[in-house]
Amino acid sequence: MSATTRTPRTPGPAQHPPQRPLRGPLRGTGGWARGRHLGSVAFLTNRVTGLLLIGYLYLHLGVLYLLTEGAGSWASVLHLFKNHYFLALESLLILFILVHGLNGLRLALVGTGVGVRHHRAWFTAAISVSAGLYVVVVLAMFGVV
Amino acid sequence: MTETEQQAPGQVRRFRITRRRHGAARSRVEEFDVAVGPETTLLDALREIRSHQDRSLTLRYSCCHASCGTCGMRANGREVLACVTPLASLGHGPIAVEPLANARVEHDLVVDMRDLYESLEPTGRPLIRQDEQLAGQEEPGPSFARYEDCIECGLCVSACPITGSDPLYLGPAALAAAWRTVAEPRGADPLRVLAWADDEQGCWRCHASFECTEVCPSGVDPAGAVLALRRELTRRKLGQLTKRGRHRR
Amino acid sequence: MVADLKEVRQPSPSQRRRGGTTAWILQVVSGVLLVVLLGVHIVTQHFVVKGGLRDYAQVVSYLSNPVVLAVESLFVVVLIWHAMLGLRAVLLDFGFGPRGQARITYGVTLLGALTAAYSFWLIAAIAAKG
Repeated sequence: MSATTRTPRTPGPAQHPPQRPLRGPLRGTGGWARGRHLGSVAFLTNRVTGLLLIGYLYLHLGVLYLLTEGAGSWASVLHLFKNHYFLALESLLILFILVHGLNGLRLALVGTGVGVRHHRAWFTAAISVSAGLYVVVVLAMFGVV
Repeated sequence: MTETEQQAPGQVRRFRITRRRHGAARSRVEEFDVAVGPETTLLDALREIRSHQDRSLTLRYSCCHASCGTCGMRANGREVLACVTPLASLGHGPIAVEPLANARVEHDLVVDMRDLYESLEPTGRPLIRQDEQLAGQEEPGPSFARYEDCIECGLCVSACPITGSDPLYLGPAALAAAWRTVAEPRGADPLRVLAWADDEQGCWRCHASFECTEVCPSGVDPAGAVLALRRELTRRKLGQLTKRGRHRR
Repeated sequence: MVADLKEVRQPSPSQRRRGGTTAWILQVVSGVLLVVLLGVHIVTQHFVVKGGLRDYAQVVSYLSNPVVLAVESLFVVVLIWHAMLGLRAVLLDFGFGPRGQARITYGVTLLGALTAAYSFWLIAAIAAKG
């Protein structure tokens, strides 16, 4: 007997809309922070660092506009950039880039169904390598290396 | 004496149950104290409350041994099957009991499971697993196969961070079933199911948080299944792209 | 008694399917490229010049090198592409219907194009001073 096909009911948008944790424009974030396990931490980490980095991108592009105004404008901003507190903030940026990038490589593999069983170990590795490289970068930034 | 009191004398645990009357706009939290023993399960305690403290507490259960998937709920924020969750595993303080998330609450701890069931329909609803035969089966006769793992309890759907925000996401249960149909078609058309899962609201919406696999009481590994779908789709797409390139030359 | 699955429910052809494989592959490829390109960008910007920050004259002379221009331009394109795909992924999670999704894709494409245009203008404007 061969398999027969039946026309199924079309599952469209939820017929019986559930309660969402939040209403309005923030409703999309309701589920993000609920997760308890490592996979959720990794997901949230890349999401938050990614959004922060997009914010930094536009800040950076805005600041670079000063280069079109000549040497004087740029020199005054350079002075601010060499401040130690500013450097500390910049080092945080490097940390976000490292974490987003290395966890991103993990997601590139896991998200394509490769090495899924080891996803926790890869997250630990990504964070460890990020931490190690961060230390090297900070030492270099503050002129030690 | 009640069943729970007949066990070795133990402690009194406090339960903070989120309740909602049918059709009400808001839920409320009510507290109940129950005398429990060392092996009392969450379901035992809830039945105790219903039997001896408040008959209006509504909950769903059936088999009491994690086969039917009807007693899913959240205890201290974690998705569990109440029938196999010992209270000893829920810490020492008050226990917050809520219905499953991402499903409409019918009444108290009972949620509407129709969205889940309907989402499973297009997957071919794989029920019988044939790639794992019973070992040592040599005599002729009907071949034995076992049921697929999913008991349709909805814990994965409740735990998924994306289902919470996107009502159109197919969800871990449906996608896991879809993968099983692709991996073992059993007369279904795997390409059609694969095409159905290949959507921005399908397997591509998953962000690999693995919450679904963490809470699944039945060993389905929905996260692995969704990611396997993505692997299969990527493999096919790359195959298509390289074939097209070869033909152009 | 277990039996073969005789009646199988198939998804109907009319059900919406817009695919997502290409977007994912682009996100992966751009991400991997960025690990290299961003690394090169940071090293060449901050670990080549003494003090780690180029003054105005050094920036202009840096951008006068055609290899630098090519690499930085590639970097800009890949970065903006990756960022827009990521932003789109975040926005799609908010659960919009098919029309909303199309608007989001259109919106991030527009934002990406404007950002890229501004970036290239910036590069050209600075390089021209040299």
